[in-house]
Amino acid sequence: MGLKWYTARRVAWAGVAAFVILTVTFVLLDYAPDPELARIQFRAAATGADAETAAEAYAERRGLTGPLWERYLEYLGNLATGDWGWSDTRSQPVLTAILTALPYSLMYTVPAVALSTVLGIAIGLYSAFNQYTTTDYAATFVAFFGVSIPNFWFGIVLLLLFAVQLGWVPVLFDAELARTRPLSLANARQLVLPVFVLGTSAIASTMRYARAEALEYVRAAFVKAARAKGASEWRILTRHVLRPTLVPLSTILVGDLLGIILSASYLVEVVFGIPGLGRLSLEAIRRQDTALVLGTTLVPVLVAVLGNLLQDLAYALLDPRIDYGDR
Amino acid sequence: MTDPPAAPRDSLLHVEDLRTRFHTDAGTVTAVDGISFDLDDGETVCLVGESGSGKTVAAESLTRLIDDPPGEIVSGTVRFDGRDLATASEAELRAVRGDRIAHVFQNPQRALNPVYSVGWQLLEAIQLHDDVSKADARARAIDLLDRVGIPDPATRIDDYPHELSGGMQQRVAIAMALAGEPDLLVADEPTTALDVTIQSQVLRLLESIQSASGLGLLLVTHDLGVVAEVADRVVVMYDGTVMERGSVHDVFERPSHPYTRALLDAIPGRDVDLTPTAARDVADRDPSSATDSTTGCRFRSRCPHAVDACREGDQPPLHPTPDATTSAPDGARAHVAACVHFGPDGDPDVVVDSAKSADSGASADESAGGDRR
Amino acid sequence: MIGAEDSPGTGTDDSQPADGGEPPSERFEDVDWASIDADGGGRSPLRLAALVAAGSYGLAVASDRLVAGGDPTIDVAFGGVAFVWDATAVDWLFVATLSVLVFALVPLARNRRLVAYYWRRFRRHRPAVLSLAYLLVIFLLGTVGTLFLDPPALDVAAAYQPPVFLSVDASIPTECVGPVVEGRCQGTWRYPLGTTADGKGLLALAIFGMRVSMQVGLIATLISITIATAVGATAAYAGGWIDEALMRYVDIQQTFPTFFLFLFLAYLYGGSLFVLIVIFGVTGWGGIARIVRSEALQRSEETYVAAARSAGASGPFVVWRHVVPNVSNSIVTAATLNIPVLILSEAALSFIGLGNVTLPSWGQTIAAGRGDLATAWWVSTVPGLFLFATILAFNFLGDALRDALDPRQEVGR
Ligand code: SF4
Repeated sequence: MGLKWYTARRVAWAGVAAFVILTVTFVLLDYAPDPELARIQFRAAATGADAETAAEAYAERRGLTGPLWERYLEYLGNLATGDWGWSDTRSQPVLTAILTALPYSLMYTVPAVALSTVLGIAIGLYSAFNQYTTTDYAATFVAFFGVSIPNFWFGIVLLLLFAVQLGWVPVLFDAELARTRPLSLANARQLVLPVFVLGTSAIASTMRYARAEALEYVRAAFVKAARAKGASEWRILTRHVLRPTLVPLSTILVGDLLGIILSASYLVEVVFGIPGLGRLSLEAIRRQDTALVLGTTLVPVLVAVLGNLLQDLAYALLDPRIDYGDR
Repeated sequence: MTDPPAAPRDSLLHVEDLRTRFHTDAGTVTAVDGISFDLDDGETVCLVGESGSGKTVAAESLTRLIDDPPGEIVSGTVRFDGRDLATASEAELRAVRGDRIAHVFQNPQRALNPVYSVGWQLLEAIQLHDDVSKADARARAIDLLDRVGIPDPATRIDDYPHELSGGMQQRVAIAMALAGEPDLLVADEPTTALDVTIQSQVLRLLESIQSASGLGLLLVTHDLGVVAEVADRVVVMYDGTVMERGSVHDVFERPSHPYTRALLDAIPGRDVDLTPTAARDVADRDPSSATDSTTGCRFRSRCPHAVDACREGDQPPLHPTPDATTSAPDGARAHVAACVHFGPDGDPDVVVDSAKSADSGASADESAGGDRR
Repeated sequence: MIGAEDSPGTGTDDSQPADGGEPPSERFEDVDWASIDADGGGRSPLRLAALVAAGSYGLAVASDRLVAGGDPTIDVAFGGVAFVWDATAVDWLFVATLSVLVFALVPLARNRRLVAYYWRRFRRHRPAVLSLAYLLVIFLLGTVGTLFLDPPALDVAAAYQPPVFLSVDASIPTECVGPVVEGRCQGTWRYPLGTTADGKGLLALAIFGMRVSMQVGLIATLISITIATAVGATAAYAGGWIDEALMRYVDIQQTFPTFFLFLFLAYLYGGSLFVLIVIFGVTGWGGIARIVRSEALQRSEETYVAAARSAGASGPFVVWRHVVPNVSNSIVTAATLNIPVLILSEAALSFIGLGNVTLPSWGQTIAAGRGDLATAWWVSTVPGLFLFATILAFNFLGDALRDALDPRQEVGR
């Protein structure tokens, strides 16, 4: 089996995964108590009207009538055509709300991911090559620190220190500024802390994995063989160790990093008041806007499915030994 | 230790009192404890010993390939072509590695980087020491593959290591070692990881390369059959020290040290693995025995001829054997054994005679007859 | 072929000693965990104890649910200390979890030599030893301590008291409990870590937060490893389409980013502690199941499994008696590293307001103090420090356990 067949299979599997996830979310939604419905029934009961009638009217309005499979097909069809529902609280289509929020999220996640990946791998490799030295211990400690510190709390502490006490960065995120002048210094200043907080958690896991993977190779026979050829340490590091390290790292990175970034960014936005996807989702949760909650949950999930697909393909490209017959 | 004080001749490689330690959690392990030997241009010297005897560490200490830390060369000289590699700088060593001294490792599958093509790795070996264009280097690489007997080298060069058989992989590794046209090839158990049928082919290849280019070959092995077949001289190691040293003829014909004799006795056809059961399960070894706590002869606990004197001091020094006069006269090539019975107050017959009665020295000629000197 | 492992410098399988002592011939996996399992008809005293414990546990739960109703489960006073404990569903789960832990640890503790061996290996990790001590304190305070302490109570008069030894501008607290020196309110020993806007003592809040964190971490992890072990071992042992189906399911579950799964489910089903724990427990086992499966696959190849099978042992029996005990070290490590993730998730969900607002969870308190950063910085900082330290400690512990329990993973020592 060749690369093409492998790719096709991976894409198909990603499709299956996405389909299963959508089905599950639909079923969950369908059987979960609907806060909006409860509210309407309560209101009806309070005003002396018949709660049952009110509920039926509500169901009619939301298209919640008809057999389950019909509603399910409609749900899938709507999602596919980009009709992700209507956000009651924002009075706009869910997809519009998401697309408006997305740039704010990307504004700090992209730099954070780029920085943490490059630095994380570099420090991890360095650590592996200098195992049990002071630098290695320091790096390991930083990694433990980054993995363990609750990022929402870390954000709060940093805000307290640098915004409230020292006044180096603004306390409140200025969305208007970010939208109109995204590349300005002022915008960079208000993004420094979010990038730092997000980067800390991401860099920690990258670093630990890179170190662990590189350690497998630092004492490998082929590294010794390269040394016996007369290769310099730098060459050994950048050619002989980095490349095989990237293979398993690519699989860990996408899956793990994505999970970290997606969840950390959610909390980071809440702490720093960035009107990105996380804030949008939180608002939706607080105001019980189910359509928007679903939409803002599906985005990271679909990103994760896509990320896993890319990871499988990257793996195939990086490792000549791959057995395409494998799952 | 106490080699006869021969002024180092102009041998290609002169190792003297080399000592390599490893620092572990449990303490310091002296893997190589003061070994000495010489190797001339075009000569094949076999470093033979069982697993854990320190032969690999000794071979890798020559160009300081051991992992440092935890490894450390604590003392000794490695004079190669007039320079002491034990004290040379990293940069000097890099210039020697691959260019003057090349290595072939035991497991070709692990010694080749799995994510690079054979060609990439060969080109690297060529271009590290020679400033040639990529096209020239590639042509040379194909030529090298041809020399080590890879069929269809022009297409094979783009293969990845996992696409080759074990024997082919080892040929590639040898080609890589030859890329810098070295003066000394250190081959560490080059056939051990291969199928039996392939082993002799690879050995044959090494021999033919050596006779064609006249390079010195230091062959590390535990296989006495291989030793008998290719060695000019033999260095028998046990627990980090040299037990016996001499020409292959002397050592096989008149094995002197009780350890060597035990080895040769143990193997009727002389081509069986030299792997006593004690060493078979390395993981089970009692760690405390590996740390430095022993005094006296290291072979004492397994030696049938042990006497009280064996308990004292350090490992007995290398004493000339009775037949020393018949072999090369100078210290570096004399037939010597590290056993008290060969010392000034000892009686070699204690060891030699008892073995004669066991009637095993007599058959030495049949298999060791391949001594070509 | 022995020459392969000649050089102490190469690879992980070298011959040099890796640790201080002679490894005992038996390993962690060889502990007789099965002495608590159900064959042999109740001969061992341990099994009897387990049965008695399970029985009395069942009776206690029943009496609490059916008889006591809304009253406190236990209400006694001795020596002037009132002992009131109104057990919730989570508390009952917690008691069950702790009992299981105790019965799992007894067979291990019996083997002194083995314990000593692992302790020697573990001891090398100084931070992990400190972590263990810290976690024990947190655990005892959170379980035993909370039984004797009054829950933090609302006291508006005592709002915004600074921690002891620190001071704050006297205009910030409503009333200063301690002395006011030069216009600054001094902290007192009555509230060593200060108070919140509601006048709740942060020390008490932190201690009750310990209970929440321990409950979340331990109960949910126990649920997870139970499911993970069952699924992983079954997949490995059964193979074929069962393996394929189970692992594909895990693939999909793992694709769903954990945090959003928690978020979505907590939104749909409410964020009470009980629901959170169940959500964490039944959705967070995918990674551990994969580890169990791959370990079990390796072990299934080994001779004793084949021997048991050829001796006519039934499938589930082989899995339970031979495969599961042999992957127990991986399970312990994975479980230890799973706990901090759950504690962090609970704190995060509480922080964004999805948890039970009345629960004294650390995340809840951090969220409560966010608005007062400029004036009363300690409200968010104190519970955050506890949260951070606890997660850090679990991570150190897990790392050291992996090192101590699984020499095969040790690299290049
Ligand atoms: S010195 Fe003693 S123990 Fe050692 S080999 Fe000679 S006789 Fe045997």
